[in-house]
Amino acid sequence: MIALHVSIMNGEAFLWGERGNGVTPSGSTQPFDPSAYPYDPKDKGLREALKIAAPNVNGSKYAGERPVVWLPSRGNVPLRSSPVLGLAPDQRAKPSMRPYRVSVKKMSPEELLEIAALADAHGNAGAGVLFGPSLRWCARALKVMLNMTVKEAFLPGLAHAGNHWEARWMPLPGEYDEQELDSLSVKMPGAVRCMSDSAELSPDTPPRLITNHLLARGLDFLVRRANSRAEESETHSGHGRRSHASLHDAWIDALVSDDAIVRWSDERELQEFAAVLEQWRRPADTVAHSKYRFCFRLSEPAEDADGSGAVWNVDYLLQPKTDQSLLIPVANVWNVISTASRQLEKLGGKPTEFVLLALGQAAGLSPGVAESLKHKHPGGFRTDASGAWHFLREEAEALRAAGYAVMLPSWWVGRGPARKLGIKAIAKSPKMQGGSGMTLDMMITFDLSASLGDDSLSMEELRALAGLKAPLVKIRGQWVQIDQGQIAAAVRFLEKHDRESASARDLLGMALGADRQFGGLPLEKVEADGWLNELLDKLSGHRDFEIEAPPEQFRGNLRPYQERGYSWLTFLRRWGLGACLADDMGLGKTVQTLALIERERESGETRPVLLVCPTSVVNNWRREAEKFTPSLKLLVHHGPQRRKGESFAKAASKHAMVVSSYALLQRDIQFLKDVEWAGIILDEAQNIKNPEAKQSRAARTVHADYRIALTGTPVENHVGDLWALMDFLNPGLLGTQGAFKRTFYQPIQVWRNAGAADRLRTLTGPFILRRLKTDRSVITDLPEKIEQKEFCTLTREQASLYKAVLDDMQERLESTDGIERRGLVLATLSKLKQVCNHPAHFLSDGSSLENRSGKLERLEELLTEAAELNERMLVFTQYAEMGGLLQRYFQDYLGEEVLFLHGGVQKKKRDEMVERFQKTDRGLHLFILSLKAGGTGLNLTAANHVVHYDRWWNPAVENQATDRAFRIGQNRTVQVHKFIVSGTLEERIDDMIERKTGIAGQVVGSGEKWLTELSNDELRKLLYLSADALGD
Amino acid sequence: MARRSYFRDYWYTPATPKEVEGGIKAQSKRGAFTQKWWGRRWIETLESFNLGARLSRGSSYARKGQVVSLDIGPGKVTARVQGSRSTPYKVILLFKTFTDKQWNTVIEKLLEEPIYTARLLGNEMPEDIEGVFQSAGLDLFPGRYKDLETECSCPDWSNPCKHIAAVYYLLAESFDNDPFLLFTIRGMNRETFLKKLRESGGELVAESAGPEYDPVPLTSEPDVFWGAGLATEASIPVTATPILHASIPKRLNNVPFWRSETPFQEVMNSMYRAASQFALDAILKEEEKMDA
Repeated sequence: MIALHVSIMNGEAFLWGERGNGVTPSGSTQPFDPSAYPYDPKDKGLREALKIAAPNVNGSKYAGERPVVWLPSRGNVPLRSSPVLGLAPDQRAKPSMRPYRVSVKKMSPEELLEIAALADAHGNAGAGVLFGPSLRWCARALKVMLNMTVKEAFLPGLAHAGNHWEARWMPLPGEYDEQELDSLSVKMPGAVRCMSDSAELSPDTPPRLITNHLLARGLDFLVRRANSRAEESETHSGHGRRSHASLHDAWIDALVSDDAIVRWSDERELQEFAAVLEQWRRPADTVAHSKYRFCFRLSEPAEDADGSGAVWNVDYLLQPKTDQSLLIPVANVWNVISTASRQLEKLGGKPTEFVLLALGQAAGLSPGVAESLKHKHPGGFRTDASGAWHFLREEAEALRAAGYAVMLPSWWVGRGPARKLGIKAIAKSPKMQGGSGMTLDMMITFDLSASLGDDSLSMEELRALAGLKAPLVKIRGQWVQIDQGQIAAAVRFLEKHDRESASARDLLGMALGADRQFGGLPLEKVEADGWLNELLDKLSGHRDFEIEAPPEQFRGNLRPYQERGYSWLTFLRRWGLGACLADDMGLGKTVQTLALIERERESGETRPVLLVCPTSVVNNWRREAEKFTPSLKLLVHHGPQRRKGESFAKAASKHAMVVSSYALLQRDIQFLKDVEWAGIILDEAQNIKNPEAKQSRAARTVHADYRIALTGTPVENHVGDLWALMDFLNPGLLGTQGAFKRTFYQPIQVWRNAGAADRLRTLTGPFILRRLKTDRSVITDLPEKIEQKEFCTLTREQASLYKAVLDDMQERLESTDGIERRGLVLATLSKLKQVCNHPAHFLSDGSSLENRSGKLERLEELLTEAAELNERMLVFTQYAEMGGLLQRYFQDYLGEEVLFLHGGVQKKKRDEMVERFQKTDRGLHLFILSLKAGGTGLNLTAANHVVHYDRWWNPAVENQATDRAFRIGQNRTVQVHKFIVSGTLEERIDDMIERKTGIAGQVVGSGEKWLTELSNDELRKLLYLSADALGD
Repeated sequence: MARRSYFRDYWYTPATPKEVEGGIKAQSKRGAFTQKWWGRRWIETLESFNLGARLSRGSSYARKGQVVSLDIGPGKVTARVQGSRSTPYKVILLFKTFTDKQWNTVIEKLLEEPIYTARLLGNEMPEDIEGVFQSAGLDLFPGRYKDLETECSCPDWSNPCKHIAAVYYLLAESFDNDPFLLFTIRGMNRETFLKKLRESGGELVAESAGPEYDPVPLTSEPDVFWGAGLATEASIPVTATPILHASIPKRLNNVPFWRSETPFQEVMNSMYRAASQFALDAILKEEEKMDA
């Protein structure tokens, strides 16, 4: 494994590497050249790592001597950037800085940005290569640069560079950018500035200077590249080095050329032009490079004043960039003995030139500012309501665009209560028809009226407002902006259309905040009475839905929160509304869903439910249904022998539930969609997050009375995925995908708009129920340990290996007896278990692990979910070899260190692992332990998931292992997952133990010896491979 | 002065001057040469001479880039303008300069209202600056013909000729961007002017250079040095492309005496727009990658 680092020296970026190794150089006596970096991958290693991590980046040779990196070290051993690469020598001594010579590749700005972009998108760079934090920092810097480029915060210039002149784009950070650059500099890892030409002095370049260098080079590159690209696509001739008609042409060309060199021979003209450009930029430079930002603050008239005669104030303020809590009134700046003056002296003198320049420029944008400058010592100006309105509507925006800060009253910027003119709809619930005639598809008529915030406006009031000429009016104690054109439009519209109609479903969407307009005004509020009102209240959480008793045939107990979830599903199902149950893993989404299906059957439902889930949990569903709802007839639709077409439809109609996988949903959609389904349920519904994927489309085409999605991931955090999910559950609620992207996705994801996020939450919230295990206030009765069997499947490869092992045994079984037979049985047993674990475990061939084992796939799912919640996991296996495979696989998968404790780990190292696992607050999501070495004694309460990847068939031993996490000091619910492959010996032995039948008594506690006592026939019955083992 | 009729049949081709590469080009392609009141005011003087067709030829010379060079000094503007002959004509404009004492009076009056300093610092001529000069008994703009002496080496008998007019138009445009040039021709350059303002006003304090950064030694604390924890940082919100492109160059006006074929602001507009779009595309691509 190699970690890639980047350091900046003299404004140039250099890539270097840190090679990982199994062995840590221990102690300070290790003999190596004190100045050579011991983990240097050398040119060849760097080249290879780059090939994997960033194939388009080559880097160039550095002409000078190999530079020096100063790294924290103990003795003369440099410390590792990540424990994945190896552990630090364990010494108490405080680390000190030491220089090491290292091989480097010089990065052009283009190459640096390319590799930074890659580091941003992927945590790990590819097999065996890691992006170091310095590269992730560069990725962040790239974001800031891109943002500044989008905002066009730069200016062209002309700079003398040695013996030639260069046309350069120079950053002109605005106010917001300054803050970003500051925070970026604070976060800069030392690694970024640890490189130097000198082995004598440790570098101490100010981080902000390095940020500035990087920014200048990166931004220049981005603007240049954007334009050279544009030019290339327009003309093909663009790159001939033509001679220029004027210096200005030469400069313009150089602004987009790769080398930036201005080709012009007249030195004097170049100098003059550079001066002209500097003069031209001066007003912008003065503002951008000031220590202060200039603020305008509009304040509304004092309480008692109202209407048009009131006086509004605009004050001028200075805010030091280094201390934004300070606002210094410009009015006091002119006074020599004011506090303001003293403050300014402390900050480095009075910036009067800056103040005047700022005001002078603002004067062109705001007549009030211009007027104020006619008097000595300007500090602000006063204006009336219409002046204030003009300032709010036009000047404020123009001033902001010109780089000033503008502070406006909260009601204007929307922080206060919304007081916008809108439309209110008042709906009367139609009388309910006798029986079950209540459906959301019925049409509802509703009255429309104008509204202002929460208040309704009568037509008279509206007309009166239309008569007012003032743009800002005080209504019921609050200033409100009134757009005369809008008011007039509203009057015209409402005079003709005071009544509209829509389906109840549509109306619900509107009430929850779906984007809707009437006569050019946004619909702000929906009021309803009767059952519609009740339904709305329940949906928005103002009123509780009924808690339902569990169905009669349901075996087992629903915990109170599960009863609630089941009732919620029932409530939405009754209205034909789609529901997404997104409870944390382990809270029992399965039982809540089964309870609903059972309830439906009991109240007369005869059509089947289609349940779609990942192949890896098909068997789980079967087992859970058998346990909790044995009266539900369940058809597993998978495997090559599955029924198709008519035959399937017939079979389905005889069952309560059909369980199938996403792969088959897509493959068999032709006949799946012809069945009349009562409901369709998607488990692990994140599988349809991509609306274009075939399985998502297939899911949408299935007709059913109700739709349920189950997922353990925090769906509300994945804005991009929400549309597809809602489009499946409640089509139309979020509008078209394009509209969703415009109104929600981009504002939230790209612009971090809190208002849009709120609206999305109110709109989708009623259809998502998510409880967290950690939420003890909701889930008071959660047991401290949840044990769950994870029934996995075999891949085709596993199945054929399993069969081969079995055949081999059977052949030889006939001809052996005694010790030889015993040996054969035990060996076979062990081989079968290895096959169930992973083909690579059985084959020991070092082949790749991906997509070859049902268990591994399931572990991947569980781990991903846990890591997303930043929860940690212990995985026990009885095979050290399997542990090693898992460690390597997940190290790559997670891009972080994975601990593995086995018999070969020394006591001291063991303690160290445990301590790190317990103490760290980031990373280390997975700790693999061999059952023998790690099953007892250790305290690993930092984990709250325990997986038994393979089984010892001894509950006592397993419980002891589980107790590593489930013990004093654990303050979360521990989830135990026991992996069992269905249809194989694993399931059968597990059954025997569960039922305590037959030889179970012998089984427990005696290892696997009892197996050898079985007759050939018994063995066959125990080990055979049944059809439900196979995934697809 | 050769008579035109005499030479007509031989070599004189009216109104088709020799083409110039890389001459100074007026940035306005049609209509008024200047956007600012003081530029317009400057042109009024020229236009009051009733030059007829010479005026429009002068403006087309200015737009085509016939002016090869232009130098502005105290009391004197010299230029070379390419006409139909092989060598450019030499144009000289002479202005009356003000004395130090006269300038001091002006500066004293300018200091009475901060708007003057404020506007001038931002490269804008205060609206009623003429009044300030007049109250000191001075004319900032040449009012009458005898206020300015002009010469041109061309064979035209009229003064001002189209070459002078072309120079005059370009001057008007350059004043748009740098009103101090108007002071320069009156014998006061920008630096001296600002120095005088500072000395006499005491209220024009320039900031010392921007923020200075102190050296920061490297830390030997491994976690800080390597930057552990960076991964958990919240992402940076993205901004939208501006509706109006190249707004900073627009606010700063044109670069004076522009010689390229494409007007300066047009060049900036297309470059800024391309850059902004390019960067936004890059960000959105990244976001989508991360989302997937």
